[in-house]
Amino acid sequence: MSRRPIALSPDLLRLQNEGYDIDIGDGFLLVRDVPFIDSQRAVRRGMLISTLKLSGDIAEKPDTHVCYWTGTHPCHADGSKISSIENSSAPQDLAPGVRADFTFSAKADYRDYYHKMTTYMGRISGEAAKLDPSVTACTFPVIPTGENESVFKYIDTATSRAGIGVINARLDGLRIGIAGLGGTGSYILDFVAKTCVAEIRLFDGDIFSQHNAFRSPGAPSIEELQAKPQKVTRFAAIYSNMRRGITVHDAFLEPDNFALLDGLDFIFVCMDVGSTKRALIEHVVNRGVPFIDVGMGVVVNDGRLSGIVRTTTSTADTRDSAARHISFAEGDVGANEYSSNIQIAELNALNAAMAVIRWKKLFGVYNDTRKEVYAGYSLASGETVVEGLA
Amino acid sequence: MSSEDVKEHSKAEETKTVTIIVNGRAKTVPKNEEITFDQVVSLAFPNPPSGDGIQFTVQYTRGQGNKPAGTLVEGQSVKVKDGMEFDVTSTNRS
Repeated sequence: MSRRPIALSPDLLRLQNEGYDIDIGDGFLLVRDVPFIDSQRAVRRGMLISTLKLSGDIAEKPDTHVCYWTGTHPCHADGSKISSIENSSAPQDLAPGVRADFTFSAKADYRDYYHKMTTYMGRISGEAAKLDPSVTACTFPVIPTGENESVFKYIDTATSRAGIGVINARLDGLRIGIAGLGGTGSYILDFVAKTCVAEIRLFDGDIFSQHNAFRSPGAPSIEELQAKPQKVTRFAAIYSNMRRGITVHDAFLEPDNFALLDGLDFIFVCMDVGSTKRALIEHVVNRGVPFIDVGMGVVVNDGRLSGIVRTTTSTADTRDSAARHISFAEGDVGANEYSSNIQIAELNALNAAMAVIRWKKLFGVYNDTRKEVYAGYSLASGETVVEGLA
Repeated sequence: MSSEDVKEHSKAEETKTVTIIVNGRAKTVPKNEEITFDQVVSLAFPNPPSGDGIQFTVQYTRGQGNKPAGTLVEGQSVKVKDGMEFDVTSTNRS
């Protein structure tokens, strides 16, 4: 039972977006869990069915005003049968597993299936709402997807409800790498997981430890930490609840394994180790892959924290200007009294959000007036300094 | 010293220097002059570490009218303005 016509037909999509439990099977449009009143004046649930006329995979104007119903006959709030929609026909099997106990007829020139189904539901569920105003056919069911249907394991109704499917689809099929799953990398994963990219490839050789819990999305239990999971394994397991296409490399990127980056369309560079990062960036630049380097620097001054949360965007057009804004400072410079490793969850999340927004600009989702190369959020002033090609 | 003198004196001081904010701390620098990347780093970190891989990010806001906000990288400088704010850190953590 393909749901493709729902995505392509505005009237069917509207039913889904408003939370009706719709499905398509054997040429029929099904609306499940429609509340009605039975003859005992109890609220029950039935299924409203219509034939579905498609042209290709797009719904046409309904070719009949007739509907079918699975359940006992709907009644008025007082328990008397709704005879105005009654149609004298015997129960029938419309398709395997789709049985019509009753046929309804409410004559009208239905513009589309939204108009038709909501008109019938108004008659039927409206009576139930008289007895219990909280009763609704909009149940917002979880809608699972098939392996070949979507990268998500259930439908992205946030996108369809917002009506921005065409815009978000510009990320369709992309293969995205996240080099380093520290605080910022893990938040980047959190955001990118919710886009329709084909693959998210994770690189990190570290264990997920107690301190990581305080600068990553979510709230791991003591038991999870005691199990000492590898970062990539842990995050892949969590985000695979929601989507397909997460691949992992339980290793630190080093020059001898840079081939693991092959085939990526874009890379988020979230690494602390300066020398390796330098080699990785050289490798990526040589292969013409665009990337965003993230980084924060927080210092303590007079008992308060200040600093910069930065993203640097390097594409074929911005390689040189970007190079000046990438920090290659080593993570653990023992002699460096100014080396600090202050990271805080909201700053990691901010840095990740800045990076993901910038990446989406590159691929045409968000408007991009500045062709940004550098963006630095100043904690103290709250201002973001942006430098770009425009 | 009369109040007139004090006024004259501070006016003279005013013409020579401006106050800029570097990582939250007020610093006095000569007025109408450019400040270099290295000088800003030195104001932030009096004994800045050196060597390969030590790299600072410098950005400013509330600067001169034509470019009130921007960055400085090694070799660059910018004209100072009273109240100009600089952030200087090594933005290498993720």
